[in-house]
Amino acid sequence: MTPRAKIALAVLVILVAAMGYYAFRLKRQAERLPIRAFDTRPIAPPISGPTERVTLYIASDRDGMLHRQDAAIPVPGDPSERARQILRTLLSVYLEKNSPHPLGSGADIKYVFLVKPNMAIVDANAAFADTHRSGILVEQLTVASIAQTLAANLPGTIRIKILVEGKERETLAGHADLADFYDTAAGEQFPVAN
Amino acid sequence: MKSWNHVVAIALAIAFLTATAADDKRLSIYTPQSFYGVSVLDRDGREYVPLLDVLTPLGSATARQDGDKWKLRFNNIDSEFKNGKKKAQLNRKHLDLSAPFVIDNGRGLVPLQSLLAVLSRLVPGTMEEREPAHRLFIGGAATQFTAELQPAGGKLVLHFSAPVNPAISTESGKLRMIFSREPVVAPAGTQAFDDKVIRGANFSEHDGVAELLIHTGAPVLASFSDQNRTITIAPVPQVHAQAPAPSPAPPSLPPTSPTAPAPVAPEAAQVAHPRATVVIDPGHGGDDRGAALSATLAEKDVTLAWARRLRAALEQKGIPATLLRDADNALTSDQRAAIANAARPLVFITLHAGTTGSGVRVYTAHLGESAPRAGSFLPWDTAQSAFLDGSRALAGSVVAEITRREIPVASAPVLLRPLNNIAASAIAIEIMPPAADVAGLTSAAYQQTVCAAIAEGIAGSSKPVVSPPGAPGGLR
Repeated sequence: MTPRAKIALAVLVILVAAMGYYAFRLKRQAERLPIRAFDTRPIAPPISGPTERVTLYIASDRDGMLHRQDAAIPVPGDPSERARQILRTLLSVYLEKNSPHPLGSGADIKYVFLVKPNMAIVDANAAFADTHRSGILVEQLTVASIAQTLAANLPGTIRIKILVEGKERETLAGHADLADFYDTAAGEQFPVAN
Repeated sequence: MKSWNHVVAIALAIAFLTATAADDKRLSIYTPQSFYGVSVLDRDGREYVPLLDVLTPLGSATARQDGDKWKLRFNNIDSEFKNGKKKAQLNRKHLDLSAPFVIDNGRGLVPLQSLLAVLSRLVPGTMEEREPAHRLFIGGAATQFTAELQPAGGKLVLHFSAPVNPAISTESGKLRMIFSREPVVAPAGTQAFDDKVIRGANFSEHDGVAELLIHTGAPVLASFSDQNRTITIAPVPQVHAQAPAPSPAPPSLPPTSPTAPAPVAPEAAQVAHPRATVVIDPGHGGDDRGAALSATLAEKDVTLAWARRLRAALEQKGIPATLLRDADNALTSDQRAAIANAARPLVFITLHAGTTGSGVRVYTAHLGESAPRAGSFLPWDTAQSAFLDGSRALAGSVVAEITRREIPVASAPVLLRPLNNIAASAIAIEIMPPAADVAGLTSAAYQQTVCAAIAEGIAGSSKPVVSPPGAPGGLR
């Protein structure tokens, strides 16, 4: 092998090694990039109706209490749709980036059925329960905030039941009982911050 | 073809029964302060125990898997085991195990034969293992007893060195005492008596329990005295038939619930179960791992460790307590409620763990109150309604004791099973880490402080903890 060929071979080997190192660095950089989260929330149809002041009971993990907060939102005339829209407003607080009580991405309320004058059936989607954090406090905060928000905005509604994808579920995420009705008139209620 | 089906069915049945039997084995561990049990697992025909389950009640124990290595830290002593290897390093010294170490789903399993050698490197004090009987005694824990026959009345008086609370059952010509939680020891063997009523006694140990079998020539009755240190076995006295005093009936099971346990069979009902004042329910278990508190810490393991610690704290105050599960086994919420209600405790506590915030949360059932009616059945779904007054008083007392120790605590009502189904004063306790660090949940000092506060709260509950008329009163 001539000296020139040797030099050319050495340069090629160095180039291959440098390219390999560069490719490895690029791969590592790509792995470190955060995966862009898809917003799996269903697109809500435009709400037509007068703007109304509603009361939300917003759960807070920080103090383990519910915080009463008023909001002005457009609400449809149909009572069931109105109830659903109020709950979706509540959930939108939990789906914000710096939420006081984060819920899993895609959590939504599919339907609210007002069965009897004093009873509401809330049908949540699978993401609502499947992505929910597990623990007595975090689960009970979610259930109590939904129940007390409905009770505050639907006068006379005292018994609330939560279904998931139209089916009864034993617990929300291993703790809070979803098999029973939540009675907003029963004895002591979940603490509300003043 | 038909006979082939039969062969397959029989093989499956044998496999199922073998698997079930294997799961039932447990090692009983006794210390001067506490008792607990751990599962004994079969691996390649050898018996293994989960090392972390053994160590957690004895001190601060954490473990993590690093590839095929299993690194253990117990009371600041570091140890390292390797999956499939017999060599282990404990406190910088080598130890040869009798069989290869096994990592099973993140759990480190040591051969039962080597457990004593492993513990002697980690835990100070004397230790004695009765391996065939699956009983391990740490720190000289042992309850001795003497038997004294009083021929005049055909009585056998058993004096124990510490209080005991065995399960007692009778069958034709025999009275059987099972000591599942007490470190009762005696030389194995049979002693014959020259008596018409008490004919002999046999002591044996097996499957993590001690058994004292009394052979009798007439129906006998066991009675306790001297704060459960003395058991007197005497012939059943002749009594006139008498109407039983009215007492509140247990809650009726839901007729349509597919998961509801079957009512107790008459034979089982004849077994005299010792009455525990407090029933502790370690939340979750088996396939139900509960919340994933960290990458390696499951809620079911934390609740069991805390439950054992709470039982020890209660027993230190002289309050008998029992666990609904003392191993990693699964129970449905209906089963938990049925077992607890059958034990007729004064207090029921279900333990959970979480990572939202810090400190302790004490919960009572989110139910409407209802007035108890003596002698009537209670609805299964709302049995707790009749006991809410006592439950709230109990929660208040526990909260006050925890507050006194300057640990963050709050209380709230929750919809939680089996709390709703319990016919006794009942609370749920959710333990959060002392600070942001989840590992604090396994800290022995934190467990000790919180459990002591809960025990003090139970003992100091100002109201009677049982509401219905005719039922026993409070703890004091």
